[in-house]
Amino acid sequence: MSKFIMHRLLFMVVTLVIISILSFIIIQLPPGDYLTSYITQLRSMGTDVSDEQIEYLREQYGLDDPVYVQYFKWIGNFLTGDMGFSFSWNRPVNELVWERLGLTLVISISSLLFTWIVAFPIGIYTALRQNSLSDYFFTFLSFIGVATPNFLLALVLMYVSFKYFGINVGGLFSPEYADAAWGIGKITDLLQHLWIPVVVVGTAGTAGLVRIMRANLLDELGKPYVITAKSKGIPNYKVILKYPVRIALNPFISTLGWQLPKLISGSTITAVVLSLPTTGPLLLDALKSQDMYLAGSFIMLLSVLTVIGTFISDILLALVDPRIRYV
Amino acid sequence: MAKENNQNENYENEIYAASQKELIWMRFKKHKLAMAAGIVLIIMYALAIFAPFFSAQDPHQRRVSYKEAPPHQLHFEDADGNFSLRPMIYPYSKEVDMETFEDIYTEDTSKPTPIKFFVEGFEYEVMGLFETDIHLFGTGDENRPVFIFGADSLGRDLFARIIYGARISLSIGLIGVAVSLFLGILIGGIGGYFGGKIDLFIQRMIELVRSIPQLPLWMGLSAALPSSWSAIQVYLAITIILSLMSWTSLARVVRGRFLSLREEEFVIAARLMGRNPLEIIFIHMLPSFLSHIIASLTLAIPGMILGETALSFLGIGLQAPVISWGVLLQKAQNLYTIANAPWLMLPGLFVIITVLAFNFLGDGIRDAADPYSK
Amino acid sequence: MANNNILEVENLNVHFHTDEGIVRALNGVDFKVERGEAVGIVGESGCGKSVTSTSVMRLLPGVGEIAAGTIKYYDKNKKQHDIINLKADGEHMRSIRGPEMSMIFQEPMTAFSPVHTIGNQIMEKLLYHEDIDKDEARRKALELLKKVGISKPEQRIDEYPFQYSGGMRQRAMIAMGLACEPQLLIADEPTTALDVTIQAQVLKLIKKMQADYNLSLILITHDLGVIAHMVDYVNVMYLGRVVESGPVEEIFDNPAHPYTQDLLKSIPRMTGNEGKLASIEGAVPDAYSLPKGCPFHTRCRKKIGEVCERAYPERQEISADHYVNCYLHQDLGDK
Repeated sequence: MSKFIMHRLLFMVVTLVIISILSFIIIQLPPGDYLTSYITQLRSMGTDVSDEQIEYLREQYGLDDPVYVQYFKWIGNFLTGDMGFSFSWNRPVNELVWERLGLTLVISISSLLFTWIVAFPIGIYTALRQNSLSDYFFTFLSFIGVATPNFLLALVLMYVSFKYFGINVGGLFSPEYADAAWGIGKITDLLQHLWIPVVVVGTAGTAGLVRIMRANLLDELGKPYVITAKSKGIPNYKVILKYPVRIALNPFISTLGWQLPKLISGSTITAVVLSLPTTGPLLLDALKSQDMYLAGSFIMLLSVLTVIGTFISDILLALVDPRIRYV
Repeated sequence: MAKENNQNENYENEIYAASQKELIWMRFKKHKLAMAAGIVLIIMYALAIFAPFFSAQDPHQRRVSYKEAPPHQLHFEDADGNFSLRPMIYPYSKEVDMETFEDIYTEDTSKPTPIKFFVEGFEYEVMGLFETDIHLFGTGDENRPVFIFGADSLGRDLFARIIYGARISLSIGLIGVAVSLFLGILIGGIGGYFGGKIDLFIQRMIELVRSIPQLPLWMGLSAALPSSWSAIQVYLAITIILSLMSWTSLARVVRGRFLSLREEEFVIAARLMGRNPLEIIFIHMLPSFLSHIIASLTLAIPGMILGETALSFLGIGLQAPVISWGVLLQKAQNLYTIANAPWLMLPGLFVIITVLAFNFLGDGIRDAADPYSK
Repeated sequence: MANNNILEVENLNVHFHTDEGIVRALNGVDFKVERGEAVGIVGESGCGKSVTSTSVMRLLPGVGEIAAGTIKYYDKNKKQHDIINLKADGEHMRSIRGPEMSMIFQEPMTAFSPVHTIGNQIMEKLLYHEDIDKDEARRKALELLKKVGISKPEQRIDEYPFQYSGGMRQRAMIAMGLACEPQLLIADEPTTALDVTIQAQVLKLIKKMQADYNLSLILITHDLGVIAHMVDYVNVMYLGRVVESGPVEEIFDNPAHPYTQDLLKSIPRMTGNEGKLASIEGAVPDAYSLPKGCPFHTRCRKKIGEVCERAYPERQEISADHYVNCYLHQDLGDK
């Protein structure tokens, strides 16, 4: 087991290194260096930038160094919590990201839980009632769910709730709480707004998982060990819950690795449509205004979240499946 | 003697291949949903290819008096209740609500305008071969245009824009898949063919790419495209960006198949004969699981289409004046617009139908190709 | 007359409803098992051996249906249970499955759940049927594992099936079968998936357990060689019917049905130099369209003629407890 964990840890570190290089490439991609364009921008707005200031910034980001030195400076700063400077917000990046990252995490994890809570019973139900009317109904629904892009679902939900209930479902907070300090009231308010992005982000994943769960369970139901368990005189429902369902559960954990990146991707675009104060809109703005430190840091942090999530899912999978644990 | 043997072998191969194809086709035909999906897709692609013929209006033509005009209703009865098989529309008369300053369109029943078929309209070229101005349907009256899906905020025909947009949205899936197919077969094939350390490395690489959140990376890469690039350059770049992340699932399929195939006698024989690995991969191994590849390809196209739609929707993919479904959906981004003109969400319906159809078709092909792997 | 039978199966008909049509898997199977007796069921694959045993346990899959017949089971107190009329998943049937009859499966790898320990899977049965706590169940499971010859049971009990070798898995399977001390043990091809060297060990173990626990045994196999040493009475099945049945010596010395004769000829022998090993011509006919009359007539070397294709032959007792369904042993004088 410890060997397995070491293995996965090593893999995680390698992944992170590669992702950091990718993020750095994205930062570097726009033509010219961003400092120059930033200074031009500032000067055109009439702000004076002294030569010492420019020199200081050039020095700090190592803009005159070779690219690989710049990379090491950037990643070194990143690891110590200095993610660079957002030129469009005129604030250090790390001041901007944490709360938004926190909310992104809240939405992604809630969506994951939503996905599981909904997909689990429906998957079991449709597998046990194979080829029944309700099976067809849910199968059809899950096909639609897989095929509908997140943002479109968000749009339709927004349209329906505005048209027929007269509510605007955008945002995560009511105006009176948006800038308030964290407290019971704000959390309750958050929970009231949270369900829409959670449903929107979770639908595609739920639909996919229902199909996986159903297929796996159908496979497992026909396995000899189910008959063996029944031959012991154990009631059917106990047999089904203890054996095939337990084994068909593995995909819930093993798919976590790619569910997480999908959820984070999904929440990025959904957040833009529903104008949520999460990483999505900020990342989009940063990319559009070529505020590359901000954008690069976001991409890096989102990837870090995903990789850590994948690591946790690997460990969980090893815990539930002895065949992996003992390899 | 040796030659004869060879011919014999070819002959046998031919018989085998034909019967295999027939079997797959027979099983596929039993899959009603997949057949229907296939027909839907043929219609979609036909609409895209012959978009000008199917559009009643030029998709770029703006009409100030039709800003956000709702879809025309087709009538089979005129105001007096006389039935006619030929559908007709009533042109809109526009008023402005003086309180909200919104445009209000009402049907002017005094001017029934019949829909004509194979009617003359704007001129276009058919596949660069010849020019014509015949359209499937229209009013034939430049002043009374028909908007079966309504008009956008600049008074352009949404139906024409959707089927023109299909040209980009549907082709980006195909080209993107072709690129990821190449990458997937190359990388997955190398892993599965050589096995061992190389395979382990490639497996890790696949895992790595899969663990990166796609959309933020797509966003980062496409936002970095120089703004000076032409529409075609952006189109190609976006396609490549999409495929860079999507080759992994194909590579996994290919790898798995190769691992089992490389123990087969015909592959060992080819290796013993001194063929080089690329030759063996592409000439000997690939054809033996072509149907699986086709199925995986079909299932990979929707991801591409959704990716393009998402990026363009966010405004960092393709940009107007290029028309794609994502670009069209950009117009439907805010609540105000969709509340007033919900038909602007129609391109989304086309996205869903296309993605569904590809999924059903892919499932059908997979089941037909291999009834045992579900 | 005191009935010493533990199981009586009469005229058992089982149909499978599939997409392609109805498969008549069993077409009137008759056999009985006396208390403490070992009975063999032999036949080629597809003849309905396993369907028979799963029917007795009421473990047929969803598409299978018992169309006709009776299955009577007599428990420890000689009380009669009408198996056919019980609900397959009902409490009554489940109280028989386990404490009364138990089953050993062919493929011990897949017959155990891969993600639960062997101990867990044995204890589950004990905990469900007996009023004992976990420690007691564990102690009993350990005892059973020791009994079937698993070394270091204290360690092995917490291991997973994939950590066991094939032979050990089958031993564990037998231990699980013996838990709750059943009266009737059904072993469905218990050695088919094992190496030849291990087969003998496992068979010996089953034989020993039968004696130790005073079990009644149904041994299902396609291998007549296995039957010879293991059972007292043999039922030969062909296409969903018992075509011949008799004491094991009778079957081996005086096989009456041409099918049994052919089966016996196809066993490899170490002695005689009979030359080429015999095989039965043709393959088992398609179960969707059974031949009319005697189902073996399509492959029979001793086919009499048209009579064999007309109706299924009646059962004839040709010597003590030796029955056969074949026109060769009937007086066809007036037909």
